[in-house]
Amino acid sequence: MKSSFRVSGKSVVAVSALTSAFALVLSGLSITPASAALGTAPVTLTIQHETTGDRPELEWHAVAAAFVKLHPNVTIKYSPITNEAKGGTNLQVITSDGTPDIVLLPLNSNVYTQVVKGKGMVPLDGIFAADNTVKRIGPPAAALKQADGHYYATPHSVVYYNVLWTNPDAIKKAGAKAPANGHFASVAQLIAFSKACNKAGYAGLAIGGKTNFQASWMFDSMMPSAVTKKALNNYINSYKPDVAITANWTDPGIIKTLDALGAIAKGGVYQNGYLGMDLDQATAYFTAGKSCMLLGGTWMPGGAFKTETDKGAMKFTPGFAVLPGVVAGSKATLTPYYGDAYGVPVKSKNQEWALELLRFFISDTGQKIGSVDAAGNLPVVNTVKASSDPKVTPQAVQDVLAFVATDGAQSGWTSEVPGAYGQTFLNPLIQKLQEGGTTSAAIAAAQQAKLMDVRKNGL
Amino acid sequence: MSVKNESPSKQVSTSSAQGRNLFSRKKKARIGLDAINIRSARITLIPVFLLLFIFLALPMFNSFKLSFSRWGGFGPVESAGWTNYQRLISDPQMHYSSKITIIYAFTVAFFVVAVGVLLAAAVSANVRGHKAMKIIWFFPGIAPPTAVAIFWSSSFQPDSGVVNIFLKRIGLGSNHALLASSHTALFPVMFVGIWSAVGFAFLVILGAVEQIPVSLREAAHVDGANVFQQFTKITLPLIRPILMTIFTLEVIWTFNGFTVVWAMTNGGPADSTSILPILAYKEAFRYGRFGTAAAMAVITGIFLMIVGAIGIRLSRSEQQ
Repeated sequence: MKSSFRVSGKSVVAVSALTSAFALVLSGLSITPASAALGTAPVTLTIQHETTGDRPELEWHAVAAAFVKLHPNVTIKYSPITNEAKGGTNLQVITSDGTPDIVLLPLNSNVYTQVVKGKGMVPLDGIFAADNTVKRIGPPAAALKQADGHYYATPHSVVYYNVLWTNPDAIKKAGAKAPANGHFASVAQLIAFSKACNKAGYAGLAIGGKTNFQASWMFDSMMPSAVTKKALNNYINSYKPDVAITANWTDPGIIKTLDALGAIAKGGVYQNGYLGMDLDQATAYFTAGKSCMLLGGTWMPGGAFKTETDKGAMKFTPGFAVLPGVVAGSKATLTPYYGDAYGVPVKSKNQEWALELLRFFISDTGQKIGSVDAAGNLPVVNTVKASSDPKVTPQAVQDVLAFVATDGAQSGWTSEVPGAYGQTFLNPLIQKLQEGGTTSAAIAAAQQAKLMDVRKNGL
Repeated sequence: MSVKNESPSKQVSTSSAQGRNLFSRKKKARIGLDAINIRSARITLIPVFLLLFIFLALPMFNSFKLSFSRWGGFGPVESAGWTNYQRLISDPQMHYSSKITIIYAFTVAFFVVAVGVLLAAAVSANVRGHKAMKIIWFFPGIAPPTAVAIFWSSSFQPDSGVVNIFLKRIGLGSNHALLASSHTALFPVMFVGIWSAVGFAFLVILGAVEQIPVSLREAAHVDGANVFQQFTKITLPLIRPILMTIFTLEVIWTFNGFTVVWAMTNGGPADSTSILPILAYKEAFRYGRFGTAAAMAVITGIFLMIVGAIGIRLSRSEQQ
């Protein structure tokens, strides 16, 4: 039988070109979803965001409006979630058939640990490979890469916590001495400062001691001043069974840090009843002018402070300071948090469109429109700068940024490790220490035992 | 009273007799009424049993199964044998939480019943403002628990809280931070538990008190009994079955209560108000140990079933 199939030179060229083009398209698709390939059929995307905090609703609304302009077939809906639920019951939402298409994933929460472990999220490798995203996000991107080599969540903004917002009027009236360079030199100086405030009828430092995070925040800021960088790195990673333990929780640096936290509580630095107050109550206490300082973060000037100032309840312009170092001569730092990230659940019914929107969200354009201009946040990518307009990024936040640029900042241990091993476990123990109900040595021993348990039995 | 009590049973027996006359066994057999009734009863019961199976038996069975597993809330479930139970038995926090949950539940239930009885007695005795009291005392019961908890959480704040302002007015100072200490945080929580539950108990108890024939108290009055004696010798004994029921229900409800405690204290400070439902929530959603949380639920469920059985038994014996 004679074959009727003949291959001409022209057709070889044509087929090669088509194949190359197809391969290009395919490779492009494997890197990032191509919006052209997504079609123009109507689609509704649901985005989950927190109800409070660094104004995520403003950020999403602005980005979504720009995205819909580019893709008029897309409709965006929102699914707000509370601070409490985002790290708890949200696991059931994300893994259900009714999950939003883009979900909020606090990186140090059990929700993130479990969905990553159970392969419940769509890998975002395409987004991280495209647009030079890894380089644009910088070091935090490395921490996002999971043991299986995939990315499952992308941060969207950076906030700094452990900022001691100050009330200059109260400090002046109390005759207290705020540190000239912003850093309290020692725990003793912080206690002396607070005592002066107390004498004048102000609390030294207002904190939301009832929350499941503020007691351990200060540990994040002060602990790096008492241990070496190598040890800190080991504390952050040693819960993984394949990382050798080179720094123990019972080491002197940890004990000194816990001792310092105990001394601060015992020294009467906090407001009366702080262990029964949440952060909103502590913030209200500060904005009402009842304390010299508030333990907070960079989302506050554009949020609660602005609201209270507009209402006339906050009658001063806040300054800021930094917690003392633990060891003489050492400095504590402000703590960056990239942790409220977003991802696409495998149960999302519009995965490709969700990926496309998420990519747009952390593109330079999306970051500028949303994080910077709409929400007044600090973008997570280093290719976009925070606004220098005080109406967008309040002056107090710009001052903090300038301070970080010169003095640096250090990631917090509780922000880096899974909550079930870190913050959730440690926070009540520090509360107990603040009450005088336990010792630094007992906490250190408990945390060491927890480390061994997690390494043996997993999270 | 005796006439009143006898008449319904008489009516029932009369109508039963009439029924028997109307449908003699022979007749019923002829028209197949029994068979129809039994069959239709069975058919109408199917949805009930189906619902009970889906919404009660199945989740209970699942919880029981989960209590022998290791599961983080997502992904495969691994068998864990008795590990979860062994862990709970040796866990000091479980011991502490069990202890404070029992104290919390029984104290709240006791005071809810006690205050409910006093209020019902006062309203029943037509004290001044008794009509308004009926409405006012029921309000806390219909307020959303979260709102109640937030309100009281603010009210117990030192200096600025309503409670401290009141205490200052009566010369006790305004510096009390009850929610901020492990030793005292449970007291405000108990107070709010009583405050929010007493309205319902009060109305039910009032209903029981008002069922007691006035003639009984009048007779006692004629015999020289004072108001207190009438209350302790007539009212209390006659409403005791209702009190037992309310007490049992309050113990169960408070034992399973979550919202008020969580919103007021987050289970703190330092886990001091982590009652069992809060501990189970933390185990499941904070630590990703759904198996341990389920084991906790099973233990709690068995305990409450025993409490319920004792309550029913006591209530029945009081009725008899």
